[in-house]
Amino acid sequence: MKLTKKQSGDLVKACINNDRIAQQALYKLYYADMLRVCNSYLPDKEAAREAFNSGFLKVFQGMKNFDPEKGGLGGWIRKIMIAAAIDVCRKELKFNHVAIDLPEEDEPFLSPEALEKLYFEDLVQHIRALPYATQTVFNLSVIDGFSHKEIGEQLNISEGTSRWHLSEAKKLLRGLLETGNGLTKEGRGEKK
Amino acid sequence: MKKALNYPQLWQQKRNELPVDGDPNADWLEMQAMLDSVMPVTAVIKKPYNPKGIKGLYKLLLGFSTAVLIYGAVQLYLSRKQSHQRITPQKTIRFAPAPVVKDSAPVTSPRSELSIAKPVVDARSIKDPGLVRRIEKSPPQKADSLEKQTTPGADDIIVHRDSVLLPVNPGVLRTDSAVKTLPSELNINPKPNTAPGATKPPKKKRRKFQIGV
Repeated sequence: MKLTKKQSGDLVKACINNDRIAQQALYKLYYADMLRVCNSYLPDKEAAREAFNSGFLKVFQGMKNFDPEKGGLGGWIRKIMIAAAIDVCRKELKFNHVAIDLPEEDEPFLSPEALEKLYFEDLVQHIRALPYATQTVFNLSVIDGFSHKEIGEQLNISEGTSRWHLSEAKKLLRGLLETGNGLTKEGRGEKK
Repeated sequence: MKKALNYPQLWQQKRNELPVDGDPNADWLEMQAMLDSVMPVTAVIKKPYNPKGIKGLYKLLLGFSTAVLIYGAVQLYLSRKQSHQRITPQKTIRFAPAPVVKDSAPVTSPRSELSIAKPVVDARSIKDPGLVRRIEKSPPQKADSLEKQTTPGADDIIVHRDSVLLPVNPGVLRTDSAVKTLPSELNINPKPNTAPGATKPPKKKRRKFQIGV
């Protein structure tokens, strides 16, 4: 899956030259990963597919702007896909704008060991039970690693609002997981 | 910090466990249609395989055929030009000799004048009767015989096709070529000019023959 610098450079050059074969190769290379990204932000499959196609169109159109010095090709495409997914669901995002500036939590939401034992499908189900704006902030912060500043710029909200929605998401998810709705691999009778 | 960086990656790995229900080939066709409408392919035309040898042969053939065409065109032009030049002098030959013939006609006129001219030697001036008889017996030289002696006329002049016909001064042809040459050819002495201003020809010295007794 990972391309070398030379391979990604050649692929980018060919895509800039509007080479359909290279564009097809790039599309199929990142098809599954980027569709998952869109699915994690958009529960509706049709909306996710729409976001996926419009995101890839933006990728091909803005391929000249890709700078390999700033980061990898996969990360650059993922950011575009997330923006495309947020654009699709922007109308449904209703944020609770708060003026209180909460301190950032240093502790992770779930320990890596606990995360390893969980199925992501189950986690996604709990995440999707959250309010739409809260789950978007959770996805952006916890899964995709955006800072509150970046989230604020992306969603046109303040950093405090972003922090509040993240803490709200963690609190709600903890409650959901503690009640036992989130099934682990061991609970399903599977071995590691 | 390092822990914070790895944590999202762990979540992303977990996300990659999600099953994907989609056909990449079918979705690519949809994507391709979008690309064709937004970013159409304009000048991506692959040239067919054409090695250097065939290219060189094509160039050689093209150059050779061009040279042949140019050579043919030049030859055609020159042949047409030459044929045009051959035709034009024949036309001048047909019409130009008319004045030459006309001018050469008076060549015969001095002959008639000469036939009218009086003989220089009169039989009465000869005292020797025997000689007079011989002269009388000998047939007189007729004018017809003079006319048999041909002089070059316009019909006899060979005109080459490529030669240029110059206008001929009729006076020059009459006086120089015909009149002056005729008396010498006929061995007839013209009348001595007895005009007062004329220069007399030098007298010939008579030889004295002494007959031995």
